[in-house]
Amino acid sequence: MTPRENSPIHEGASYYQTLSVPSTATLVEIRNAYEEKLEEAHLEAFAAYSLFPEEETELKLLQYGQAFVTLANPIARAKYDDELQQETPDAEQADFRQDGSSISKPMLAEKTAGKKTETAPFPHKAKNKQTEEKLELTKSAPKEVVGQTQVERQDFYLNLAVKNELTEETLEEYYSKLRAHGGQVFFNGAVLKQIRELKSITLDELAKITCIRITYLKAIEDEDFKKFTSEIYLKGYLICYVEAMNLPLEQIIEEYIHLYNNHREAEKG
Amino acid sequence: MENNKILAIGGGKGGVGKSFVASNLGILLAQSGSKVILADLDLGGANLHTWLGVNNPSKSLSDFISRETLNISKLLVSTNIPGLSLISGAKDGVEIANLKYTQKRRFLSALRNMDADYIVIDLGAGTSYNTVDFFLLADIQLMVVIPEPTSIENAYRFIKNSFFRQVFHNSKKFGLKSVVTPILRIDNPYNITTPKTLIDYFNKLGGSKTVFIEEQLQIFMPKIILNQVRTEKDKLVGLAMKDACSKYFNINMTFLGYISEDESVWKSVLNRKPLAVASPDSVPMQQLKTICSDILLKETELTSKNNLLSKLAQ
Repeated sequence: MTPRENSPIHEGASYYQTLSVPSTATLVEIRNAYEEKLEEAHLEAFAAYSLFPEEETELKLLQYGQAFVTLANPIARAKYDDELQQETPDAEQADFRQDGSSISKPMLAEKTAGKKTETAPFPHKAKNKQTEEKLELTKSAPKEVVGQTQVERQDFYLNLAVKNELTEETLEEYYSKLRAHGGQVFFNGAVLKQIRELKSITLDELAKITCIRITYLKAIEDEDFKKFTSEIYLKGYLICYVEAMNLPLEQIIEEYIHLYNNHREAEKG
Repeated sequence: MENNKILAIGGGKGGVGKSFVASNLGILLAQSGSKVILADLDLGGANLHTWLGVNNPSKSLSDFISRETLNISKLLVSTNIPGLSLISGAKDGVEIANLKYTQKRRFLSALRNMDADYIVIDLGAGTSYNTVDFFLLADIQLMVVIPEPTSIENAYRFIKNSFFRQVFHNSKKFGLKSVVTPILRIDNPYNITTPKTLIDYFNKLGGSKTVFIEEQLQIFMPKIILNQVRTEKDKLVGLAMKDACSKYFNINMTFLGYISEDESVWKSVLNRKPLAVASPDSVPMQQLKTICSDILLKETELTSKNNLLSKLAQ
C-alpha cells in the first residue's frame, strides 16, 4: 500500500480527493476526514444492509486507509506530494475538486453544515514541508495527536522505519516458531500484540503514529470487539495498525475479520 | 364515491410502529376535517382498536370475508374522534391469512365505495403476497422503518417483493405474462434477484418491454417514515436508505421524514389513549404532522400533474 505500488494518481483521484480534503490540510483535518469517511461508509453499509455491498465497502475502506496512512506520515506525504506535482502540474487546483462520494449531496451537506463554520475555510497558506506548524486542537481531535510537531512526527516515523527494518529477522524467527509444531501463522489479537512487542513499539507510540486512540489499538489486540461500533470502524483502524507495523495487510484483515465475525455469530446464537 | 384515497402502511418487520403511525395519521386527517376510516388488516395480530381506546368490536373484517356480513359499512365502529371510524381486523387470522387475490379486490373495491375522504390501512408485519397485494392496491404506499438492521433488511425485502408482485400483476394487462412468469421464479436462469436486475433485463429486451418496465417504475412509489429515531446518526439512515435503494434496486423511494423515540408514545399506549389525543404537542406528533402535510402536498401535486397530463392527452 505504498504510493508507488498502487498510485491513485493514475486512477483519477488523489489521496486528498479520496479523503475530501485540500492538499494543504493539517494532520488533524486529515485525521478527522478519515473518521468522517469511516462514519459515512458505516452509515452507507448500515442503510444498505442485506443489499450485498460488501466488496464495494471493502474497496472503499482500503482506499481511505491507504490515503490516510500515507498522508498521516510526513515522510510518505512529502514524497507523495512530489509525485503528485510531477504527474499533474496543476494538481494544486485539482485537489479542490471534491471526489464524487456515493452519499447524496443533500446528506453530505447536512453532515458538514455544522462543521464548515466551525473549522472555517481551510488554510490556503503555501505548502511548506519544513514549517513546524503546531497542530491545532479541535474538538474531536484525539489527544495523542495534539502537540505533535511535524519534526516530531518525522522522528516517529524514522524511528518506526528503523524498528520495522531491524526486526525483520526476529519476526521471521517468531513466524517459524509458530509454524514449528504443525501450526500456522494466524493473525489474532495476541499475535499482533506479540509482534508489536518484538518490534519494541509501545501502544502509546503506535497511537501517536497512527493517530488512532489507544483504546482502539488495545481493543484490537485484546479482541475486545465491543469497542467498535461496526466492522467498518474495526477495519479502518486495523488498516492503520497493520500498515504502521509493516505487516501483510490483506492476510491480516481476512484472518482478523474472520475472528470478529465468529465472535458476532457466537453472540447472536 | 371515486374520490377516497387509500393509504396503506406496511414495512415488513413487526413492532416498528405501523399501528402507531396508522392510528395517529388517521386522527390527524380526521382532525383536519376529513372523513376517515381506519382499517385494521394486521391479519393475525389486529389491535388497532386498542391503539384507539375502543373496546373490542363485535363485528370485524372476518365477518365480511366469510360473507356473514355483506355490507361493509356494517363493520364500521365509531371512535371518540369526530370523523374517524374503525374497521376492526380479523379476530382469528387463520381463515383470512391466505386470501385469494379476488377476495382482496372485493374488499378493496368495497372500501373504495365507502363514504370517506381517506381510508388508512394498517397492514401489519410481513412481506408475504397477502400484505404486499394490499400495499400495491393503495393510492399512497407508506412504509415504517426503524434504524435497525433487521428492520432495514425487511424493508428492502418488502420493496423487492412489492415491485416484483406489481410487475407480475400488471404483466397480465400488457400481455407479457408469459415473459414475466418464468423470470420471477426464484431459480430463474437469468439471475434476476433484485428489481435492478429485473429492470436491466427488461431494458435489454427493448421495445414494448422497456416501455412496460418504465411505466411500472413510475407507478411504484413507496414512501418511508423512519420511526424510533434516537440519535443524530439515526436521522441520516432515511436518506442513506433512499440512496441505497436507488443504487442497488434502481427504485426511487421517497423519504418522508423521521419520528423521534419518545416516552410519550408508550405512555399513550399504556393509557389506551392515542398520542394525537393524549399529547398533541409532543415531539413525535409534531413530526408526524409535518409528515402528514407532506404526504398530502405530494398527493395534490401528483393529482394535478396527472389531471394536466390527461387534459393534454385529450
